[in-house]
Amino acid sequence: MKIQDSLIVDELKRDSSLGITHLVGNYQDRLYYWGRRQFKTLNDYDLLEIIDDTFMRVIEKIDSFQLKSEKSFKNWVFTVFSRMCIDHLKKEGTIAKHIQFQSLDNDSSGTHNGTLSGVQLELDRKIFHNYFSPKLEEHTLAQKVREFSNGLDEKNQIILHACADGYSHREIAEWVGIPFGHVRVYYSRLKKRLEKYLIETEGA
Amino acid sequence: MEQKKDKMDVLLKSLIKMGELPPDDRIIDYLIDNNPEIEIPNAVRKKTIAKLEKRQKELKETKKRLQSPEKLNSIGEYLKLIRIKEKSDTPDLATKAQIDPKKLMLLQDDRISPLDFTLNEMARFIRSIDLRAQIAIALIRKSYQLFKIQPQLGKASARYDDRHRMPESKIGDMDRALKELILKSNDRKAETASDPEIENYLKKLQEKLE
Repeated sequence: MKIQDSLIVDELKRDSSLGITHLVGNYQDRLYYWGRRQFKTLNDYDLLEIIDDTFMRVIEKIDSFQLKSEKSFKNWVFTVFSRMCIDHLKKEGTIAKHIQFQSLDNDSSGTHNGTLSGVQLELDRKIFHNYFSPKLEEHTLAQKVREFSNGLDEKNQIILHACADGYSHREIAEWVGIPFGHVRVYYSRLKKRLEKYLIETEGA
Repeated sequence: MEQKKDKMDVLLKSLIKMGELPPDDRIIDYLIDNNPEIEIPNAVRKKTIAKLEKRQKELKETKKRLQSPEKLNSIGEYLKLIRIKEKSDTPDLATKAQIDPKKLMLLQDDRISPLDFTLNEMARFIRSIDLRAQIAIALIRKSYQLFKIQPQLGKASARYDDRHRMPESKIGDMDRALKELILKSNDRKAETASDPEIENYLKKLQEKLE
């Protein structure tokens, strides 16, 4: 049974061990599956270690965490986890491999040609550079995309995320309950809206 | 225009890869449902829980003691607790306060006199750990006393350990209790004879911190 995040946060803030049981019960599998998909260059042992470290960070920083919305805890946990994975890859010196691996992956799916793979690498480097910048507030691009995504309803959020992540349109159509042929149209419109949003907020 | 649209695609993919766009629950559920052969063993789960519970207990005790810093035995003890809470190491703190890390390590174990720190160093250190001036000064006074009685403390501690064969986990608690006891007894003596050198140092430090 899935426990509500608000309950986990409350228990953890009270230093209760029940909070830990629920945190592990709710998130260990999810982080593991997500990590296996997103960070394919990590081995199982490292992945499990990073998940433990993520939980450790969560209990250490729980006092300063504020549950602003239903999804904010989940988003926080996943962000901490992803950043730790990237830090690990960086330490191991395999971050470049991770970028390349992902780009080749995209090529094999047939969604991009060689030129776009170059664009992807260039963009990755820019984002990675921003990510490792000492000033966190400089991650404006990621922040803006997150704002845009958070402003969408659940259906559009799933379409935006799942399409970009390469899931089949048939699967996405099942998740959100729309005809299979509409997914491409939705995604295309969402990308246009995102582009417009980024242009409009550029000067802000 | 087509290329611009694809750039959005690339941007989204990169952000997902960076963990900047956390996944939706349905995507995660899908991954779990479609990979039933992969399962985290129960033993791994239990090990994770045990590790986290240990850390939670440590944090709980540390936070409790940090709530009343005036009750601590020395500035070194405060430093140690901050390190446990923040999981930072001495070099991190030393860099923040621009102090030699070796000196900070000695201070943490009450094996250096606070007078060996220049006023500027001590002021930087106190600011870097966000400690109120009044409490910091009281703790530095205790650190100084502990440093002066270090040989006496070492002997008492060794004698006690020999006699009672303390388990490893209890040695820290015992040392703390011993320091508290000696400090209390010294407090009574100090009422009649205070050390002008440390008092002068603390007075100047207070002025610096104000």
